[in-house]
Amino acid sequence: MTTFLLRRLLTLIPLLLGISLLVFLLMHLAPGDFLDQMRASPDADAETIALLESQFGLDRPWYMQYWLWLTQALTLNFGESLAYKIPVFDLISQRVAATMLLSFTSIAFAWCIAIPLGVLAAIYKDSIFDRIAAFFAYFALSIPEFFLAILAVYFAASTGLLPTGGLTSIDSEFMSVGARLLDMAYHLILPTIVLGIGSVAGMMRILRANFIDYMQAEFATTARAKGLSERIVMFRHVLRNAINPLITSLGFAFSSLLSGALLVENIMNYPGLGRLLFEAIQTQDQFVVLAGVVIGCVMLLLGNTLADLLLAWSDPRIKLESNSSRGFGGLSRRAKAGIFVTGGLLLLFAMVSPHLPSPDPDRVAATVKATAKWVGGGLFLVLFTLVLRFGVPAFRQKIWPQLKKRPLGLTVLAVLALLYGSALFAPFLAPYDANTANLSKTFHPPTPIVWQEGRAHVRQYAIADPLRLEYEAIPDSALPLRFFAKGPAYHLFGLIPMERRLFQLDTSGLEPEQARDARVYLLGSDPTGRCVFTRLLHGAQISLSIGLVGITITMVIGFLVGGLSGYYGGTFDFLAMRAVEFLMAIPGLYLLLTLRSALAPYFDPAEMYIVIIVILSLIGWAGTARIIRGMSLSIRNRAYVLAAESMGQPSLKILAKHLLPNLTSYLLVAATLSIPGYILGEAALSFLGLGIQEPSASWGLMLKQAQEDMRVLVMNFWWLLTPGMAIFVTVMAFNLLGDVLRDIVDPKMKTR
Amino acid sequence: MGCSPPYELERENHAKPAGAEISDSEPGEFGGLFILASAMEPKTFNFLVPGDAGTAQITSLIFNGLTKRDPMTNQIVGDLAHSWEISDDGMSYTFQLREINWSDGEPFTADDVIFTFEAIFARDPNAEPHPETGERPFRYPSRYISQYTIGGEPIRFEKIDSHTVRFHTARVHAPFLNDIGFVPIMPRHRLQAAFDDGTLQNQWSTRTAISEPATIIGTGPFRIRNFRPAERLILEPNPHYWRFDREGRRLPYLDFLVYRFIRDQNAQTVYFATGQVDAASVPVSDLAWVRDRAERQDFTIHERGPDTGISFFWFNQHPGQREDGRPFLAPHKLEWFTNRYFRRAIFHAFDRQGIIDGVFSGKAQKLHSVISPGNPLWYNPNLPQYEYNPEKALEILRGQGFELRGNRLFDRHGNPVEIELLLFDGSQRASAMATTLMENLREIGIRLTLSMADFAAVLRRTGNTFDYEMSFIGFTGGGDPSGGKALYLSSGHLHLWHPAQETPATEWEAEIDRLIGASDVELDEARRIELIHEMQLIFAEELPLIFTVVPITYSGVRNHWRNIQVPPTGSILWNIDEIWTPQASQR
Repeated sequence: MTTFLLRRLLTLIPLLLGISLLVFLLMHLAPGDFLDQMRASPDADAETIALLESQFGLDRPWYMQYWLWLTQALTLNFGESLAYKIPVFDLISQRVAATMLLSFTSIAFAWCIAIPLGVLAAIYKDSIFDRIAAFFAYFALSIPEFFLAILAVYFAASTGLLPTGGLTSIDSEFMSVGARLLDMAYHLILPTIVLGIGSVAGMMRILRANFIDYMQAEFATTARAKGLSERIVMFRHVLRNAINPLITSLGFAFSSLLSGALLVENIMNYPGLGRLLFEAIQTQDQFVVLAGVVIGCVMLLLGNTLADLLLAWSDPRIKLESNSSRGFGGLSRRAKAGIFVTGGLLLLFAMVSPHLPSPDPDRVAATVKATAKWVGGGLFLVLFTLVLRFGVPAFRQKIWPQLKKRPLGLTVLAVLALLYGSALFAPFLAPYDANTANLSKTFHPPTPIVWQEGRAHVRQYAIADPLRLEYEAIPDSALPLRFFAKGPAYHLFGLIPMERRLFQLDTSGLEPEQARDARVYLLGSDPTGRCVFTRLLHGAQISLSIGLVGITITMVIGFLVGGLSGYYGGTFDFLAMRAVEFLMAIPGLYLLLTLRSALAPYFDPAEMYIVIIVILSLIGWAGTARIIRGMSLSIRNRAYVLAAESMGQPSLKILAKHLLPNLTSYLLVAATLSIPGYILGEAALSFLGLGIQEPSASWGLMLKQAQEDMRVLVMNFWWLLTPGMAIFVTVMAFNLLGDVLRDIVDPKMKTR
Repeated sequence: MGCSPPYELERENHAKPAGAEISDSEPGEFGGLFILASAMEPKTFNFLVPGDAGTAQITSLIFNGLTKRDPMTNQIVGDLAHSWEISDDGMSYTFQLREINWSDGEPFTADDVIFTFEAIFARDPNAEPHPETGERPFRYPSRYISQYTIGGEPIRFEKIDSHTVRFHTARVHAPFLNDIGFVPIMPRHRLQAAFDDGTLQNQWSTRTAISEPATIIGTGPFRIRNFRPAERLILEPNPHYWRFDREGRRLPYLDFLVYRFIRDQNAQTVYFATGQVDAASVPVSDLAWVRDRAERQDFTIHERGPDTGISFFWFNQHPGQREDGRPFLAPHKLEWFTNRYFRRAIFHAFDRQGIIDGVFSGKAQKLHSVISPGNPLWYNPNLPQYEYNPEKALEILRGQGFELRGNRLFDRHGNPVEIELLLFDGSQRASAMATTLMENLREIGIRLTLSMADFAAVLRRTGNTFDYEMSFIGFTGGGDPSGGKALYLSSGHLHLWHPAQETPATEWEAEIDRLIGASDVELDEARRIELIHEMQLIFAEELPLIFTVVPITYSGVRNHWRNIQVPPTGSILWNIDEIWTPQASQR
């Protein structure tokens, strides 16, 4: 036990060294520093700024700053916040308790709901209850957390039933201890639900599946045969076994909640660490960011350790010392040696680094861009061939015959086809260009289509009250719609020049002035009078393709790394898996934010699309690689692989000929189930204002813009929230399709 | 919520100090809890740590300067100084200080003022002396150092007696009385020890406010009672405050003043509209629905007049070149941008009324000057105005050799007029204005493309590398025009179109420099105003900045609060110490 904990602590050291170096480097890749705000204010002069620069040490090269920080950190001094002028440690300890509390309550909430629901759904398998629970699970899994948070705040504000934010009431200071605790509990209700509900769904589904498995297990039958009551069999025997994977997931739950809390804390005004760190990343208060990320890693490791201890406690068969497959625990001697070597190298680098030249930001940018272009292009080509070579046949032979028989799968497939089809033909389907504004018709309500003289007509409106944004229909102003009519020119698929659009207003009978202002808004207009329907279609191009392109990159890297390391084992396997663990140890959203702020300034907004894909895939490949490695480990010992080896086939060929075809269906399922992560990732980034940027459109950006304007919520302009619905439907469709495919390919659910 | 505190403040009873001031407002009653929302929380309570607006908002309630500007009359009045004399040469100022006490009961004296200024100009004993001047660098970099460095020399200060201090400046500095009020005076008896052992900058952080708020003492109406970061700050009356009402009650009337920290501007508005905070500024976009709730929540929305800030587009006019010898700007573009007729044509093509109607629901004004009409003391109302008239814009452009072929504009060398507008991401209003400008310029054949970037990237490109063509920024404003020097002076680092010039590049920039210099040493305020008006005229004729619009601002306050006096600009709660409610005693 002690050696186990000690070992865990030891592995932490090189990990933290590596992560802090990475984060520091990323922060210094971004141009500017903490003093940028001051530089843009007219009453700060250059001398003061120069003085501050030297006081903060910002005039030194980054590696010197890191080196200074590192030597300080060895004495447990993690630096001073530039904004608050107090030790970072103090600053963070002011906030961390609130975040821990929220993490704890939402995990507890998730368990309390998920376990009974999962058990009941398993016991009453295929009943109405099971169906409702499944529907709820898909619903909860597919709704973006921040969208839910907005809805919760709106609910609280409009009903007054629950507090709209914060952790305590103003008068809590004057309350008795008991009343104060009650007050906190009252404030925790909404954030707990919002943060917990996503994990309820996942846990419930895992528990249900496991429970069903174990209900037929031999030990359950034995217990029943011995005459134990069904209740005792279920709760003493089946549940105890079925719950194990949930305990394992607890460790990750801690760190992912820390990430997820950032968005929820910001929307729900919760006084936690997430808000502090988000602000610190934005203002480049570097030591606060460093400390925050380090704390996130420590929390993840503690969570994993806790999970291991719990697992050992709940399942006596598991021994703490031997679980080398999970986390950072139980490392072999070689692994330990490797960690010391890595740590030593990092230290050496830190010592040598003061003598290295500082990187030129523009050259870095050019290198990153070129690399991204070539690697991206290369990967895409590789994947394209692979899909043609293996994916299509696998789909046709293994999946399609079964999928044909499942109405749910077919429906979902049809929905997705419709969504992607409309994205592909967006300029044809949309009546306008994505950025055609009309400032005289901002926040216009949807224009109803009326039937007159045997043709579809659209009523025209004039603004009645600009403050209230009330529009009144102009009598006798309905304009006919013309289908397949000529409209603004565009390029279909970016290639074919065209003018015909699906529908256009017929303005031939109007004065040019009026004709210019006439509009058809199927879903209303946005703050600059742009057509929401049009932007939704154009946004779909970005939001939907990000998932596909991202998953392509992830899958290729994941397959190469995971497949090779499973196949070869040894040093390559060791290094690759350490890299995977390294990436998975950094709290995702923080890594995402620092990566984004490091890369974004060097790219044009039009290229932000690439930046986001690169970031999401960089973080995402690790998980895939892990799963693939496990699978290829099991395949590599099969007779046909051994036979091929003994016949002297080169290993790459074996990988391509024998491993890949066997993994294709799994890859397909894993890909389908991971796409929602990309769509939600883009939405979350854009929602924070860090993703796709104007004038491009994406669903996340549109949702952000809808939320930015309080009028939208208060005056019931629900149609502006359609991007939220679009995200929801797409994610739900992918989740459903993924599950159907998994049922076909992998009934035992190895992909989770 | 928030209207019936289940607790009361126990007021201490201290003798009235000799220097007490009697308020001329209507006497009220003690009690009440006033709740405010703030987007930014204080990052420090230490005046030597560079804070932000959120910090300044709070510290102004805890500390006082020597002078302040009365927002109702726009005159400079005494704060900690009750009177002053100016020497005949206009270079020394003698302040008579009030005989009052700090919030811990210790007397406030001239030593505190001297201590504060000594701290500002303290040198770092551990740093290397400057090789040429032999002086060590300042120990606490703060904006006060440059603010109080006049004519190249730090102001000198001396104690005359226990309640008299005198300041000397190296040359006449007209805004001196205004500027001297910026710095909050600090208690020497509390901070001298930290000053001596070099830890002054580490005092009075948020940590202090959390764990031992009583150690932060000031002269302002309030002191800190409780601080919960990211949640709220509760202030309570300073028991030694020096303002009294006519009936001898010690101000402030309020029992508690609470700031709730709510990052999101929208959420703040919702909190106000649902009665959870007592006063808030209401954005134009939310005016209608918030006003609908005025009766139910019993509040009034006051129209405050135009905002004090300005926002504008500008063209890069930097003639310099990069290290590799290539110019920052293509020569033909530099030729357009440095041509004032070109810029005037842009003004005529820019439909600002459209922005006012479309983006601000009609609640905004066109901006014609580099000073906002929200700063009426200095604003010049008689400036040339450039109405929206694309025909006229084209006429001006034709006069400069531009030519419209088809629907594209070409310059006299045959280059198509295409401009890239660099915009930092994040402001919906800025995007809306840029979108309108893009549409407007299309009408006269100019192709404007938008390029969004990070704030840091925009800053780097417009301030260091100059590889941009056009950009947009908004400044908060108000106060004495000497605060805008970084923008006006050709040597200023925010002289955006061509910053930090060694000598003025154009005659009109030289003239602006001269006017600002003259206004600095002009003691007669009427004459100063004339000089500043003249400067604005140059901006309005040369048009280096394409001014946009100024929104009208609105503030709401709940009706049961008395003594609310709404000033045209600035905080609606400037007299927070006089505000009271009859509802406090009814319970």
